This record gives sequence, C-alpha cells and structure tokens, in this order.
Amino acid sequence: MTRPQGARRLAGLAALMAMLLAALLIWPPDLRSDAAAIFSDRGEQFDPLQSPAGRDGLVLITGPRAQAAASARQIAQVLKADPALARVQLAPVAPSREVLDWLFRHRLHLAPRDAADLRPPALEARNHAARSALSSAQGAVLAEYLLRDPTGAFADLIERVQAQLPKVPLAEGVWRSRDDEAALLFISLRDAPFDARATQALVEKVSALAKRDGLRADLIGPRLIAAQVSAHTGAMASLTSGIAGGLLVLWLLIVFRAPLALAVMMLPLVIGLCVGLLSVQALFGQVHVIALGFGGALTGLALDYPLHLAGHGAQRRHARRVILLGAATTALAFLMMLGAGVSVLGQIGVFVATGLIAAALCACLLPPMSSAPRIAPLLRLAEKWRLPRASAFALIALAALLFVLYPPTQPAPKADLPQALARAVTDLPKKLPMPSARYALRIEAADLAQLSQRGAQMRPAIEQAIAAGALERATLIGDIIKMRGARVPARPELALGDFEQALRSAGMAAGYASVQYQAYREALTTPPPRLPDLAALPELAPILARLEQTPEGLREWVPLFGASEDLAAHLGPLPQGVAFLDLAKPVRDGLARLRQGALIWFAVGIIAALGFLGLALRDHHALARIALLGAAGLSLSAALANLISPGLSIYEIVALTLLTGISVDYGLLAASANASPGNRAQVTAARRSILLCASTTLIAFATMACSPVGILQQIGLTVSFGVLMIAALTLAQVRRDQMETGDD
Amino acid sequence: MARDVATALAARPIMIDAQIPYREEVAHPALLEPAVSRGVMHLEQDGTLIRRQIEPFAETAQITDTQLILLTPSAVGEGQDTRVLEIPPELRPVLRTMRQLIAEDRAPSGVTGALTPGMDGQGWRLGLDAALAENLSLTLLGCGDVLTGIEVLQADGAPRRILFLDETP
Repeated sequence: MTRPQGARRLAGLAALMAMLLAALLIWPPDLRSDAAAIFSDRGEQFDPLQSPAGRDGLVLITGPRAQAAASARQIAQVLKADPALARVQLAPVAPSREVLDWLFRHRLHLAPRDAADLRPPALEARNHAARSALSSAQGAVLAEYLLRDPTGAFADLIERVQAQLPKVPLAEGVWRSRDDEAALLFISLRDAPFDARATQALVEKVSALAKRDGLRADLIGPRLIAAQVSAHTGAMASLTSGIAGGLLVLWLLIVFRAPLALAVMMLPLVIGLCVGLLSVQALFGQVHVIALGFGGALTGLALDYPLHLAGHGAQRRHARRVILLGAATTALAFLMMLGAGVSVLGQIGVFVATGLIAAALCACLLPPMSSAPRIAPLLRLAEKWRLPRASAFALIALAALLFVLYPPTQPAPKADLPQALARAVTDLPKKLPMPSARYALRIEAADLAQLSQRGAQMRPAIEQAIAAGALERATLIGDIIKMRGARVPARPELALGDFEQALRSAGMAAGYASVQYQAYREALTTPPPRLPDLAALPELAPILARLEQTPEGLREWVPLFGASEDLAAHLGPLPQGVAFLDLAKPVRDGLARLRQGALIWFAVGIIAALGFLGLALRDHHALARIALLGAAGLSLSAALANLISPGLSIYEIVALTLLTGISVDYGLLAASANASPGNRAQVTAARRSILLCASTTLIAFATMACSPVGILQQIGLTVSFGVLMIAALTLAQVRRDQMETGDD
Repeated sequence: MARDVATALAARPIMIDAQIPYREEVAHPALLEPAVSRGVMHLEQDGTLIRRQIEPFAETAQITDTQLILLTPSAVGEGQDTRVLEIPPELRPVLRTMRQLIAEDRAPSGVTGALTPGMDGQGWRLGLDAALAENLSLTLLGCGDVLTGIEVLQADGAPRRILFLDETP
C-alpha cells in the first residue's frame, strides 16, 4: 500500500467515525436501566422499584437535636418545592378542621357500629370519655366532636388514623431516631418511572444541604439506594476505566513510541462502539445499561485487532485473515445470545457482534504502522516458554476437580453500597422500626368496602403470626377504614330517648341529647365515601400511597414489620384476594433465568463458533487444538471465579464469552504460525501479537480486578486469569510446534 | 387593681421552679358542672408551651403556633403514643397571647382592652379586644402585678377558665 493510499483510507475511516459520532449525537441512544428487559420476556412482571413501597424513602440527618431539626426543616422546605416528590413529612401532620368534619360526617361508614356499641352502657362510657376529653389539652379541638358522638365511631376513627404515625419520638418539633442521633424526614417520590440520574441528583442535593449545616444526610429507600448504588458503581467504573486507560496508553507509548499511531489504533474501537450502540438502538428501540456495560468485552477484543496487525508487521495479510475469521467466530458466539429470548442478553449479543465485525473490518483497512512494537525482552521470554504437552488436559482436570470440590451455587444478587450508606442501612433498625424489605402482603378488591372486608378477614392470621413471634406489626387500610358496604347498617337504630338516658346515666345534661341525636341522623343519611374523597385528605396520604387503582379495582400493598423468614407458614391459608409476596423472589428468579439463559446460549454460541471455525479452517487438527486451549483457559477461569465468589454470576459468564473470543484469536494466530513451517518471521509475528494483546488485556482487566466494586472485580479477575492461561498455553503451543517442525 | 391597661398587660403568673401551676375549668352545654383539671405549664426555648396535666389523668401536651401534640405512654410496647391536632385558627391568637403573657418580659404588642375591678371586688379583669380573639372573648384576671388567670368565652358561650396557682397541685 502506497503512502497516499494509506492516508486516503485513514481519512475515510476518520470521516466514518465522525459520521457515526454525529449520528449518535442526532439520535442519542435511549439508555434504560429498567428491570423489564431482564424479566418481562418471561411473562412475570414485577419490579420493586416501580411499586408504591419502592417510591418511599427516609432522610436521616445526623447531628445534635436542635441543629439537625433546623436543618431538617430547611431541607423539607426545599424538597416540598421539588416536583419529583409527592410527600415530605418531618413531623406528624395534624388533621385540619375540614378533615375532622369529613371524618365526623362519614364516621358510621368508616367505623360501623356493632349492636354492643349502641347499648346504653357503651353510650354512657363514651359520654364519660368525652367529658374527660374536655379536661385534656385536646378538649378545645376534639371534645366537641366526641361529645356529639356517644356511639364512639368518631373516637375509634381518629384513634386509628393517629395510630398510623411513625413510632418515633419528636424533638424540636421534628421526628427523631430512637437512638437520638438523627432527625428523620419521610418522603415519597412521585409516581413516575425510575430515573437513576434524577434520583441521584436529589440525593446529592439533600446531602449538600445537610453538609452546608455541617451535618450528614443519609437517604434510604429502594429507589434512593438503587440510584446511589448505580452512581457509586458508575463513578468507580469511570475511575477504573480512567486508570486502566491511562496505563494502557502509557504501555502502548512505551511499546510503540508514536502517539499518532496510538490514536490511529483507537479508530476501529471507537467505530466498533458506535456501530454496536446504533445497531442495538435500531433493533431494540433502546440500549440497556447492562448491554452498554458489556461494551467492555468489545473494547477488550476490538483493541486487539490493530495490535495484531502491528505485531505482524510485514505479515499483515496473514493477520487480516486471522482477524476477520476470529471476529466472525466471536460475533457468531455472541449473536447466539439472541436465542435466550431475554432482551438484555440479546442486546449484549447484537452490541458485541456488530461492534466487533465493524472494528475488525476497520482494523484491516488501517495503513501499516511506521514503528514496530518494542517488546524484545518479552519476546525472548516467550521464545523460551515451555509447558508440558498435557498441560491443557491437566488444567481442565484441575478445573473439574475444583468444580467437584466447590460445586457452583446460585449466586445471591449483590449490591455494592457505598460505605457510608451501607453503615446507615445496617444501623437503621436502631433508629426506627422498618418494614421488611423482603416480604409484603397484597390485597386486591373491587372497591373500598371489599378492600376493608378483606383486610378484616386477614387480621386474625396477622394476629396469629404476631402471637407466634413471626411478625411484629402490620397495618392494613382495613384497620383504619372498616367499611361494610354501600349503606350504613340500619339496625339497631337509636332514638332520642337513648341519648337522653345515656347522658343522664353519665351525670351530664340530658338536654344535650338533641344535639347528639341530630348529629347521629346526619351521619346515618350521609352517602358512603369514595377513593377520590379519601385522596383529598393529606393525613391519609402515607396510607393511600400504598393503594393502587387497577383496571379490576384496587390493590393495597401491606408492609410487614419484623417479619421472620418463616412468616408465610405462620400466616397459613390466605383469604380470597390476599397474596403473600416474597419481594426478592421475582428478582432472584429473574436473575436465575437470565443466568441460565446466558449459560445455555453461551454453550450454543461456542458450539456454533466451533462449527463455523471448522468450516472456515477445514483443518480438524487445528480446530481441536484451538478448542482444547480455549477449554483449558475457560474452564480454569470459571473454576477460579467460582472459588473466589461462589456461583457463576451473569457478569462472569459474559466475561467467559469474551475469553472465548480471545482464545479463538490466539488459537488462530498459533495455527497460522504452524501452517507456515520454516517461516520464522510468521512465528515471531504470532508471538508478538499474542504478547501485545495479552499485555493490554491484562492491564485493562487487572485494573478492573482491583476495583472496590464487586461486579468489576468479578469481570476483571475472570478475564485476567483467563487471558493469562490462554496466552501461556498458546505461546507454549507455538514453541512446541516450532520444535516439532525443527525451526527452533 | 392595676393602675392601667399597660400595667395589667405586664402582669405575670407566679412561677415555682420555672413552672406555672394551674387549675382549668371548662364549661359545656353537655355538662352539669364544669370539668376541672390541674397541672403545671412551662415554656420551652423554641416557644413551645408544655402543658403537663396531673389530674384527673396524666397527659403532656406540646402546644406550638399551629399544632397540639399530645404525648401519652404507649398502650402497647415501648415509646409514646403521639396524637397531633391542628389548633383551630380562631384559637391561635389566644394561645399566642397566652404564651406571650407567660414567657415574655414585655407586654404583648398591639393589644388593648377594658380594665374593670375583679368580681369579688379584689384584683382586676382586663377584657381584651375582640380583634385579638375573633369570635372568642379573652379576659385576663389579675391581682396587682400578678396574673392570676385567663378566661376564654367560646363561641357557644361556654367559658374556659385557666387559673394560675401559687402552689403546685
């Protein structure tokens, strides 16, 4: 290739990159982090982050009473103006006169009376209680209602509404944690799809406000934690990528001593990433962050292609064939993930396959490098590198032994919480009673009255579980609203004389009976309340936040406090319309299915790749050797990964798919060297390629293995082990071939 | 009798150990006799009035500008049961004036009224302006420079009288 030809190609590739980047700017990928891409394809849809409980949160402002309370008030003011929030509460909200009037009017619907409530002794006792209320500080507010209602319906109702308040003390007018360390602020996010970035921005805003007052704010809640974990992981991933990128550039500068060549080498990678992104967006209409994350797999391979070419120097033609064949084989293995039928796996497959092919084609079009890589000491080491012939079998046997001794289990879903947040979550039970993050009840009903009845039917089972010590507390909407139906029960009905007699018995003025009787008649004729009426009452907001309107009617989520592992057994058979939920189960099952799908289609991908390679090479011996090297590297990496963190996670499985691509590339290089007996330059080029690629891959993934984020560690360790094994085995194979052909 | 309205407004209740003992009498059309309670009051630094009732049953109330928070020992488990009530807007000026009369050294600003001799010929009564208490009638009871009580006549005509005592109940 002449110089002007090379320059033209380079300009063409640069123009292509610019066009792809422009396309991404004009049609930015629709990045998603929703669980639907993982779960929905299997029919069962449940995402805790989208449930009403998932939107609730708690802000802890740690500091001395007065200071923390003042800061909490200011933060509450800022948050109340934030459109992302539906509720902000730092102290109990008092029912207004309007609410009390409303409850008083509807009292016989919301707290229907039994015959026993309307007998003379009960009415007299209520009159006594109302007189006592006059002596209380609440007398000026509540006594008037209580005196007018000797049936006790209003008293019961107000008791139930007030019982919903958090069981934590008040200090300086603000809720305070039980350990007296933090002011508490209860919040609910508005009902909108989860947006990790927007939620993280909210977390940062609150933290900054508290920090300004010299205090610390911790925000806890399903969405709030998910956003912080996501941001923490993202920040750590960026830091790791930054360090790895810096080390890579430094290493390549040492090796090539040509910054411009370095920039040229990055062209296929950038084009590959752009093509991958655009392909996924075009095919799926969105790009899931998990798929984007596995762009790392693409990075690991796409950067290898120009390095292979550089390593081959004058032997570029051989290298091009190896690159195209390797890329096609790996792309095929990744494309098989489409068969899993799980959106996110399909996206990973398309992203890596299309990106890899694009990167390989671009790499082949690059003009030759002006400077050769300088890795003479490594090359000398590789020339002498030997391993026993049976070492690949020995590694496979070792891996099998490790798997027998430490059989893989289902990995538990893990979240990498930032340290301070992890501490706050651990300390939470000391601060206030919290509902179980794992178990909940779901009650479905046609209307409020049926919901109330089903709640009442559920209550005995809950009491039974509490008595057995399997549960501390559960509050149902049916505990507050005890509606029996559309009408207030007509019998027994009280007469004016009943009120007079009850007042007289209580030593009170019988003349007041007319006031009580009139209030009673008004309540009897008031129509029943509807859900929108309840929604207008701010005091009921925390309770109604657990209520969802569905096409069939209503759905209530009941949080369970102090739920034990065996709670389901203690609750026994549930009434119609009530379901016991293990909130973690759909996530666990979804991830298990994802993992299973990835494993199966990973195996299918390997078989397809080997089949394709067999057809392309038409050399069964070479194919067997590539398969053996790959199997040894992959199986031992998988065994070691399983040893370090029990159970192979989805991340490790995808890391193994990357290793498949690497083993195919290295195996093809070794095969091409072996196919040219007597061509020492070809053998040296293969060695140089393997060393260059293995060194860059190791730098990137070993840095990742040092990350404090578990996911990155898992990927980093698996790939690092694997690439070391595969490189060591391949180099030993090249050396053995050389000795056998007498070239050494 | 106090010399003038300003002197009457400057009168303060007797404090014992930073607390004000009181007796409260509440009349109501449903009652044959007023309901009576006793206890102590004091004011917290942030202006919250604490009303600690001792008889006829124990109860603590935190009274802020807008809310009344009742704290009673929890019927079940540890901690306290909290009941929160909004103070009706028409009562707020009365409670604000009460807090000022108990806590502040200077007389409440912008308050005027009519000064008359006490019922029994001793002491004085200061009926405050209707503008202060809207539909309520608020009267201060005193003897010399000591505030001995506050009387609130509610919209239904039933009186609520808080008498400050010179000994703890």
